[in-house]
Amino acid sequence: MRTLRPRRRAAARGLWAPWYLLLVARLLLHLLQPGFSAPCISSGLPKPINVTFSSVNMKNVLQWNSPEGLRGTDVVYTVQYLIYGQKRWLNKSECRNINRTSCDLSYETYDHEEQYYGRVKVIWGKHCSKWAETERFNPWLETQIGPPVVALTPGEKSISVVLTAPEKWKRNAENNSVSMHQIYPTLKYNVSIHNTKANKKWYKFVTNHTLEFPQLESDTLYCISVQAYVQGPLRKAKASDNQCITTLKDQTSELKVKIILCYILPISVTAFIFSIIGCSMYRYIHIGKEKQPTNLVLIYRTGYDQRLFAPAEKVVVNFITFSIVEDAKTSSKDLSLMERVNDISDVSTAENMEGKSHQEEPEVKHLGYASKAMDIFCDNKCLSPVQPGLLCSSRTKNEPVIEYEFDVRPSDTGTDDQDQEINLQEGISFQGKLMLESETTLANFDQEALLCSYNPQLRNLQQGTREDTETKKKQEEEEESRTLVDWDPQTGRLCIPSLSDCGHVVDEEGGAHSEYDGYPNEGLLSKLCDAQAPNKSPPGNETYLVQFMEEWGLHIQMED
Amino acid sequence: MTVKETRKDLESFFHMATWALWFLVMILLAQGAEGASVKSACKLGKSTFRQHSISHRIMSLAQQGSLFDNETSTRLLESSMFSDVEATNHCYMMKEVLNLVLKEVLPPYQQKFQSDMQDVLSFLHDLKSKLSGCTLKGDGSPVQRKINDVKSKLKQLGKNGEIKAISELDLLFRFLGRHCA
Repeated sequence: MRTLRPRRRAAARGLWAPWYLLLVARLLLHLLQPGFSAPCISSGLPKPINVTFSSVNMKNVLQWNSPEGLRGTDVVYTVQYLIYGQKRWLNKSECRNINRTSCDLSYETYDHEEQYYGRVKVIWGKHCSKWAETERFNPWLETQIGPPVVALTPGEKSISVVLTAPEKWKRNAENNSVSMHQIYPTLKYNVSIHNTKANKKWYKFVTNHTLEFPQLESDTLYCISVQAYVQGPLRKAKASDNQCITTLKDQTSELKVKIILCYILPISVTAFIFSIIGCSMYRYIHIGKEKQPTNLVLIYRTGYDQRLFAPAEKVVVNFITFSIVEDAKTSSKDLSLMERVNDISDVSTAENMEGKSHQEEPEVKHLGYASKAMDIFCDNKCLSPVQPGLLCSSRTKNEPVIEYEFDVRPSDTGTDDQDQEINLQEGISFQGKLMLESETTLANFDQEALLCSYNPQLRNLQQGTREDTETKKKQEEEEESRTLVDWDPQTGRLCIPSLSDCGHVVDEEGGAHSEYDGYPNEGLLSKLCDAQAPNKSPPGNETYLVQFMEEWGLHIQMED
Repeated sequence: MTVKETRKDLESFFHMATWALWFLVMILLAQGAEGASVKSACKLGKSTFRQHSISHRIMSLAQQGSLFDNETSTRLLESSMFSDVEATNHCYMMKEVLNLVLKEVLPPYQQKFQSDMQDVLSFLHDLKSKLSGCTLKGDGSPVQRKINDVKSKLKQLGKNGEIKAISELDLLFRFLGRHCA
């Protein structure tokens, strides 16, 4: 407008000029007019309001609002801008007669060292309003710094944040980008982190572009937003969008749990089970007390009506009876005979004696049971106390020899005759052997006496088998002198109530066999006086006596 | 024996200590000399221009001044004014402008922009005193010409010129920071 006016005046004034020049000038004016100014009449149209620059990262956009009276009407706007300090307003060709209420002036206001003005007017038909100007726009001071680009890397218990400063608006895509950090060296970032689980939020001001939030909770959602911050009064910081990220699961704790659940727990459980099994096995084998079956327990009580020993199986009870037949009228002949027997026996009958002792031993072991059982039977009165056929020879009663009889007989509580017979037969066969041996060795001696003294059982058996009726009689007679042997199997102690009576034999046999050393010598030897009453002892016997006196402290007391 | 040994040890220690002190003193002196040289070369610490509070006040003051400045076609401080001036005299030129502003522009407006003016004035006076040693080097004619241009503009605009100067305080601050730091 301003540029064209002088020309017009010149044209008007220039009447002297050639007429075609005027025509050319008018034609040019007609062609150029729409490009430079709207052919509008400035009337009383209201101006646009709130004309301002909005700027983010140097992208400067002029914005305005349509005047109140013209809202809804078909109006257009035209925009101009001015660089502070210059005299000319410049048109923005893209923002001429536009419908929208904004105009991008980023290209024109690119230099952030400069300051700018902008202005807008409304055109309605051929009418137009006055210019509505902005205040001085200082992009460097006023532009908003956009949010930086935030890259989050989650860790187990941390989040590392890498920030990239925003870039300045670019004129062309090819142009090198200029970081806002170059324009504002004092650029800072206000990083806010929000723990969604605990609903806690805290802030951190940083100047460098990398930071790390340590000591966070694992497997937790954190929301982070970053705000670039530059000093300046009018600048409104624009925060970045919330970027949420979940911290990684704690691998070590997961691993721990896995190890505990998959390895340690089953191993420990199996070990526990095995140990329990082992313990119980050990206890069953070693520690557990072996209890006797209740049906085998012997109950020692006075009252037998309470419980009875009634074993289910057949129990063999051995009855052992010592019967000592003592005759006051001991003839010296017989004694001498006895002594002779002893004399010879030291050499020749050693085998026989041994055999006898061996025979006796296993039977003696059962004495205790036998006696007990006998007691029981006696008390209970259910059985006859002693089986018949236990006695030594009936003949010996009249003879002056002291006879020591004991009978060991297996007997069954159940009256099993077969077993009894078998036992007897065994006894016979065994005794028979002995008898043969004794017969051969002791041919010179009185066979009956020998048999009676050394093989009482044989005699018993012979008699027992031959004449039962006879023995029954004699049994009654000899019951007075019968001795019951009490032998405790636990202590291994044999208690003979009237040991002094039967001490003779035990002693004599004990002299040859050391098994009987444990028995009291005094009681046993004290009876020797009876045997040694006559002084016709052979010299061999005297040496024995001396030996006894030396080794055993034998003391012979002679009574008149 | 032990007494002699301890004496020897002490002597050696004192020798070491004196040497260490000597080095320290030398280092400190060297640093002091460097600082002095910076001051003489019209240089200020960058931290001076990065003080958040004072820069904020200066921006705010300039913003307020620009609202009162209706003259759009005149600018006192422009980037173009450094074009003909040697780089070594850039800071000196800005120092002269600063002195001009402090002397002729700001005093009458102490009451008008009370909130920020006090702090800004004290800060600028501090800068002025710091740059007092900054002198013109070489040919000073272009510098002087530019300064005279500014002076003439201010005189030409009158009251408006003063407001304009206030509205351009942010420019003054930035140019000072750019050329004197």
